[in-house]
Amino acid sequence: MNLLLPGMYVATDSALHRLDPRVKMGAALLFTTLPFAAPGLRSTLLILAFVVVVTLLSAAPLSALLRTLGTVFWVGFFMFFFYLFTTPGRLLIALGNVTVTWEGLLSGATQIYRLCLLVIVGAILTFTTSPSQLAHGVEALLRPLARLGLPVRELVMVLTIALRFVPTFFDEIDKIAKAQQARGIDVFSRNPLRRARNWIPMYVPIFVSAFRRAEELATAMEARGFRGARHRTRLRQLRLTRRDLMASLIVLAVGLAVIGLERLG
Amino acid sequence: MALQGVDLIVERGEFVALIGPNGSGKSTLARHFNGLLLPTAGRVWIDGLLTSDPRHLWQVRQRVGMVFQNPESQLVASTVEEDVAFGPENHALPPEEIRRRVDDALNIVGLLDYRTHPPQMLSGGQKQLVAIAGALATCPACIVFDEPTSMLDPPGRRQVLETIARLNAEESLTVVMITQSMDEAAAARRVLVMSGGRIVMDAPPTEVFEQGERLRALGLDLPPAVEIAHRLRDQGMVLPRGLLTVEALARALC
Amino acid sequence: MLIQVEHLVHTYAPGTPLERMALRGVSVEIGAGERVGILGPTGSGKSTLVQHVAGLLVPTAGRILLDGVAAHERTAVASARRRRVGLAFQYPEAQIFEQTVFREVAFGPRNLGLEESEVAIRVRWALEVVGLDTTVMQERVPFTLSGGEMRRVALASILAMQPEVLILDEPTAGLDPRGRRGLLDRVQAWQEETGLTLILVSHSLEELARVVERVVVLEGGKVIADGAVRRVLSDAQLLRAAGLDVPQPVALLQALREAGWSVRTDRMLPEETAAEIARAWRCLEGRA
Repeated sequence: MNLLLPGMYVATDSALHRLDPRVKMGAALLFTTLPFAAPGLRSTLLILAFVVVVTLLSAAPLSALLRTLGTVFWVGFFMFFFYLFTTPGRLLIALGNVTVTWEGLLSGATQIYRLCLLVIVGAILTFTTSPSQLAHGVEALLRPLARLGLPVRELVMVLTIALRFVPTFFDEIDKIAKAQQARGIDVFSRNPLRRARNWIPMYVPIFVSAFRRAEELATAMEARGFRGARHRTRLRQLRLTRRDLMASLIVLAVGLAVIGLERLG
Repeated sequence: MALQGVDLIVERGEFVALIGPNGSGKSTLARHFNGLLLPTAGRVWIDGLLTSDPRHLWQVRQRVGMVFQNPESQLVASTVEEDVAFGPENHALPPEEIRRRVDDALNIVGLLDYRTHPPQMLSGGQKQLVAIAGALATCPACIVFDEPTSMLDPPGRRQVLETIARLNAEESLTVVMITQSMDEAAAARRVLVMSGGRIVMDAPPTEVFEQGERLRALGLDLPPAVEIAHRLRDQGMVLPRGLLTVEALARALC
Repeated sequence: MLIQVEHLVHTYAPGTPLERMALRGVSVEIGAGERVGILGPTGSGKSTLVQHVAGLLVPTAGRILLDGVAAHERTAVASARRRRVGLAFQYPEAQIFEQTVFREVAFGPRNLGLEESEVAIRVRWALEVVGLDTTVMQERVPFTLSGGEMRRVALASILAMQPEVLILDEPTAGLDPRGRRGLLDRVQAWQEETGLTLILVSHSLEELARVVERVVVLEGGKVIADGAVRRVLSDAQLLRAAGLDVPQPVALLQALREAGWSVRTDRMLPEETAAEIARAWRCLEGRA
């Protein structure tokens, strides 16, 4: 409860919050893959403009978005310099054996852009869609696979329960860490090697606690009539509204415009 | 052998407390009431349905709900209303019916305003109320409570106990409550004392708590008011039998 | 060891939407050998305070000194002070991880860098203090023990470090009446035998009345009362205002006093309450 994970769902009421999760997930998928099909400058600008508008419509605070970007800072950092130094092309700067090319700069920037887009779009999705809605959406989108025999409903249930227990486990781990710290090991050591070794007395209690909770939860679920994820009805059904159809049309239109701009040069 | 020959009848509308030292078989017995455990020998009927008959198991579980000790480990979903809906969803009820039951159950426990809240953000007492609402949503005849207040602070305890008492009084819900608190047991109308897998006492609390010596020998306590009353009688004061609470004792003295 | 808490402030998650000030300027002094209870509603800061005493948290403002040294510092001196404080959290059996009782109880002493022979002596002693049969228990796997036994093993593992200050956070939570009595008796015996400091965090007023001599009441991160256990726990107005229960014996004596009996309201152990009521009754009978 004391942990605010970046990108976590916040129950405000924005235009995006009211959309069907399937629409949002489809749009997210489209706009994170579009940059690969449309790398040109004008298409890129259109994509960015659209994402900015969507971000504003989601009522997500800028600080939260910046924090989600912060989680991939090092990945982006290394990726940028990797592409910067290893892409062949027209020379920009040369420092001894190391060469930086124009293409390298462009490449690095493109990778950063795609990464940031992925993170931001993902963050807006999780910010405006509650865990249960996400599960609903995933289940609906994967339903065709169920016909192939994949246990989609069970997997989604496992996912939702696991997600719901994440804060619980954070608290538990914190408690166990403090208890072991009080018995003389420096759990919060700054030395990563020592910290890894000092965590050994943590693994067993954490696992034991996880198994105990799992058993207690399974018993409670059984007592409430659970007998498998099939044949269950749901309190809330997903229903597409006119707003969802409008949103889908807009998304498709922008997507086509992006492709169009790309084709035109 | 956790249970050694238990014979018991509980009628509709009763309020039964089940006490006994750890290891006496209380939880084991309670889990037979909804078929979580099946007898090695002997039989258990709920409203005439045999728990060991697989055809009746799910009806049994609809009629006998259960609330456990750890508020956190009973919560399945990420919003209160979805958690309460879990039971009805398992019974494949239509969504409108589920909606109605969820709202009714939350209304009864007084948490209707918390419908869309994440249950992890609630206090311990409120979490147990969500668990109780979840049990109520299947419209059971009886709810078994396994030490529902053990892990709660005093305000949470009071919230839960008041709700349980109200459910028994106003909704005619049969209540079987396992507890380590002698005060809670004193509030029931019938107390079962277990030891070594058997029921060794079965009487109203006024009678059970008169037997201080025997309870102590079994590893149990007396509610503070009863203990004080015993000592006062030892010192020669004349007091009526069956005083269970401080209020009753004060009235008797004045 | 002298524990000095001076205007201690602690804020969790500062600068985030979940920011919460758990302690708002707490000042308390606990001397060597005292038996102190800490009482307060949920969220009053009890756990936060005792974690500071054990040096597990860094103060947001104010300070907490163990024999004059700040508890949380990363120096050898502070570390040595922290080792003399033992803290058992609620449901301490959750921290058990070793494969035998012996190894579990030996964990703490070994972390202190003691010789194996000394470790073995301490393990045996600690198991005796909590009432477990050393020869039978030593090689048992802790996870096969009953809940009450696991609780005792966890406590023994703290006691084996022979702290000068023992902090227990709700040590009897979840135990049956016999388990509660047994554990408290042993804790009391330990304290009487060693004369060391005991800090007991508890919701149970009966337990506090029986075990400690002084109670500190926290509410909303502040100290609202600090004094002799009898005086504090018989202050019904204070307790109610803080959202706490009044001990039943005290409620009884107060009801009698309001009805005109002349009774002291601080006789809160059942045997004392009964004696006090009997005394007052004989007075009334005598006068009648």
